[in-house]
Amino acid sequence: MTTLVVTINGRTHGPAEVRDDLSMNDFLREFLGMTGTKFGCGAAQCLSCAVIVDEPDGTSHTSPTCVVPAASFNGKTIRTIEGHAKDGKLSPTQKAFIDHFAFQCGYCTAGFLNESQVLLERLAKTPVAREELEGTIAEALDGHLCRCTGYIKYHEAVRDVILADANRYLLASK
Amino acid sequence: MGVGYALLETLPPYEGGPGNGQWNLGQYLVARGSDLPLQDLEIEMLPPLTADEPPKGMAEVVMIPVVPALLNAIHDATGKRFRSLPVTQSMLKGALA
Repeated sequence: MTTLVVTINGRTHGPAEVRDDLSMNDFLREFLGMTGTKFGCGAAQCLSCAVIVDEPDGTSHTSPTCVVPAASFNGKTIRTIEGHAKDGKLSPTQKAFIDHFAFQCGYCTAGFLNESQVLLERLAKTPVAREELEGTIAEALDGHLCRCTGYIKYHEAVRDVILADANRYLLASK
Repeated sequence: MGVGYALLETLPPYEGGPGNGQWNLGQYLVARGSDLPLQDLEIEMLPPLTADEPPKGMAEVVMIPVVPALLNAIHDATGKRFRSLPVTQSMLKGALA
């Protein structure tokens, strides 16, 4: 057993005694009832279960939760799908996903949203040139599997969010 | 889904196949974003039939033409006509050898 304390969407959870073989996915879904994080393949292949991990150095990345023990998240700060909307208002990326019909069944959406958010925050710190944008989005989202919409609507949605605030995410054009 | 059906999904019947319930995404290959020409794709939205009836999706019907389109493209590129699915990388390499 491990005593787990983890900060999720700005709120501290625990200390909770968890079995060492309990996955983070089960901890989120079964212990906390946060079912927005999905369980897909259970093999870290589809990333529908991905959450955002905020590192102490200010960088963020996604991590699968299905094959990762909850205990390994002890002391960490993470964000899940439940943390994107503020005061009942959707984030720009959430809104763009809806406007573009980016998802149908929605199973992969939490993972895509988290990955897109990480990308936006990275671009806000280190912008890319306009002509590199499509490739940057494609590379960032590539690990996530979607069976319904063929990816393009997710990519277009993220691109629109970035282009709508180009000064923030893109290098000034020469 | 159409790309997977045409190029990736080798799904044998019976016990050795996905029907045995043991397959995961390591064996059942699903097309990733990098398997698609995303920057050359355009989505065409059909206009509504009537003003008060918004357009609806038509589900998996749309994957049907993807398969012959890809196989015709392979024929155009290689001169070889494939008649079973999926046309895998190793089949293409064999045909070109």
